[in-house]
Amino acid sequence: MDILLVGPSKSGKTSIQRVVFKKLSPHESFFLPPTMSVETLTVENNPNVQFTIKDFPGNKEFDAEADRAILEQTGAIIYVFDAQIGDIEESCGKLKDIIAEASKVNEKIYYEVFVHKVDSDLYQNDDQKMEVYNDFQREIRNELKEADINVNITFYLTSIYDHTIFDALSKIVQKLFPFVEHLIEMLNSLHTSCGVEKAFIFDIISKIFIATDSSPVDITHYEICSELIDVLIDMSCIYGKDNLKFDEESSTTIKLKKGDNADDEAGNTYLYLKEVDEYLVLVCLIGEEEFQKKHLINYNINLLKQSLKEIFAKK
Amino acid sequence: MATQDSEKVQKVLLMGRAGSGKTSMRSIIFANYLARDTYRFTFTVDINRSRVRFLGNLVLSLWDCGGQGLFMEQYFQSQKDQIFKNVEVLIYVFEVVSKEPDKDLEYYKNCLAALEDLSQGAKIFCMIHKMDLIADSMRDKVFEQKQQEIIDVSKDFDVTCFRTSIWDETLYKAWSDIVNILLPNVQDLKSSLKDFCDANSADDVVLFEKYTFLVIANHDNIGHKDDHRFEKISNIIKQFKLSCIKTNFQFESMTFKNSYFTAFVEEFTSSTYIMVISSDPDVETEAISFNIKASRDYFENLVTDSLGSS
Ligand SMILES: Nc1nc2c(ncn2[C@@H]2O[C@H](COP(=O)(O)OP(=O)(O)OP(=O)(O)O)[C@@H](O)[C@H]2O)c(=O)[nH]1
Ligand SMILES: Nc1nc2c(ncn2[C@@H]2O[C@H](COP(=O)(O)OP(=O)(O)O)[C@@H](O)[C@H]2O)c(=O)[nH]1
Ligand SMILES: [Mg+2]
Repeated sequence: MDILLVGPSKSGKTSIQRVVFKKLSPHESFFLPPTMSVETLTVENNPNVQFTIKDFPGNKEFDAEADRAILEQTGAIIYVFDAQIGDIEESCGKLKDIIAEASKVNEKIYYEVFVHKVDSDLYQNDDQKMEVYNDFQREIRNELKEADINVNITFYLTSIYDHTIFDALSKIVQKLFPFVEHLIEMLNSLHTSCGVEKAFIFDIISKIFIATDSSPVDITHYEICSELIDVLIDMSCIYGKDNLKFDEESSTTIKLKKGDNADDEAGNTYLYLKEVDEYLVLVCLIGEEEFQKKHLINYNINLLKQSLKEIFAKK
Repeated sequence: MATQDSEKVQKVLLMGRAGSGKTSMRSIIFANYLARDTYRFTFTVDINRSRVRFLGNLVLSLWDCGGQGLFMEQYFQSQKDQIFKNVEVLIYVFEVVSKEPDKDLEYYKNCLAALEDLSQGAKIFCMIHKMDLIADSMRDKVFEQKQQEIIDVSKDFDVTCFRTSIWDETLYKAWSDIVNILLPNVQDLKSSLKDFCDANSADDVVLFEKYTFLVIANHDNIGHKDDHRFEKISNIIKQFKLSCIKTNFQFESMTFKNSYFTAFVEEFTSSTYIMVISSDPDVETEAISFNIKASRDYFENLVTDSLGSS
């Protein structure tokens, strides 16, 4: 299943691909040369969670006939819009053309728009971000209506300088795998059976989360879980044996005290990480009281691990 | 706890030209900033004096000086006494790719001259900063060259150069080394850490300062290959700590495991965190946890003593 990255030159496509999947640090993206031909990267840390990212050179245009083979393979098209300099009208025109051609070949493609680089000084507050977000959304809806094209588009505010880019890509990857539905159910039941406050299943290498329970995602929770993975990986690289970075026994327990500015109701919390499959981890936030029943939590995590294996085996 | 009077205040000057990275550095080590948030800083105008409490009762006074020409002139004239008197340490920041390398050295020389007058015996550290802007293969060579230039103009002063960048752990390495030089009685602390390490048949034990996560002392029982491991760990745990703060939490303890090792990081004395690494399958993790708690009070006193506050 392929994810295509398209959009104007310099809009940040290659940066996104490198920062998320090759651990480039964001400031180094400044030195990236323009992309000359399609760059393909396959994520296959876990054999059952495989997908390919195709990074196209700026202003790639699609043609239903010439690009048929590519489009048939495609699960999602991400259009990267540079919110620093982007011309909304022109971009929406281009995007409309892409959608028009692609939807002729493959009706199942998801269309995703990144309103990107919203970290810049132009966007000091959330209102300004929402304004460009809404403008883009309104414009493309009009364009598509005029052209009588009926597809669903999802929009994201993104930046490589924070976790928004990981959050957006996580949500897109989740759409491509039908088994995610089951994972969500399992995580929800972890919530009801042992009072787990929030749970994520991460691909530990890319830090994309392939599932989370149905309660809303607080980006700071994502952030703290993803930093936790960084610490675990670094510790394991330093103190593991023969580069034994991550294995069945990998786990982390972190006790968090409530900070000085926290609400009165907030209590102490645990962050708990367990391996659940090859390069996949479960990370949960659990209140102090619930964490006392650790055997119950472990028991349920083991059940989840079993069902995960069954789901993967069925595929 | 020591009283106000017995506090040992050490004056540390942090100097360098505008944009050389002083504010970024200070913010990352002593305040709660991530490297990626520093690009918003504008030039520091005039002296921004901030005091940083370290290890409970050691106070570093940082003089982050705006390096724009005008202020530099003032430093050496009207404010000379105020700035250069009683200086324990000068940390001078050189930008590795500088538009005016000669001017950088010129200002540096002026600082040394002022110290010669007013604070003989001050320790001098030079940061050759923003090394990330140099291609990896060239870094050694460029550093050697810059270092030599600095040594050449430092004359009688004993100067230690560091290569640093806010984008990797080199910044922690440099500051850890500096802080270690500022701790006079760290030896007792080290030998007690060795005893602790042996008693728990641990591989590696490290004390980190509570707020900065700079390394204060360690004992390595098995000879680890990676000499930069603590800076990496400081860097990564500090980042984690910052994320915690954003979610209104503070971390108290962490345990990391895989099939080979267990790592504990825990709040220890009132001013430190301890990290214990164990790969001995016969040692119960609960036992180490227990021993950490049991030796808290003993180390509390040792840490205070290591500051030499008498
Ligand atoms: N401020 C900011 N700059 C970004 C962000 N993402 C990318 N950039 C910058 O945008 C510039 C262009 O990035 P690239 O990734 O090369 O753009 P591209 O879309 O691949 O360009 P082509 O390959 O020519 O199509 C680089 O200087 C990046 O540093 C972001 O989130 N915020
Ligand atoms: N590439 C790179 N940039 C840095 C580094 N340290 C600081 N900077 C940048 O240099 C600029 C000026 O830094 P600042 O700390 O304000 O300098 P000051 O005037 O000396 O206080 C900021 O944009 C920082 O992001 C570094 O190690 N590498
Ligand atoms: Mg590119």
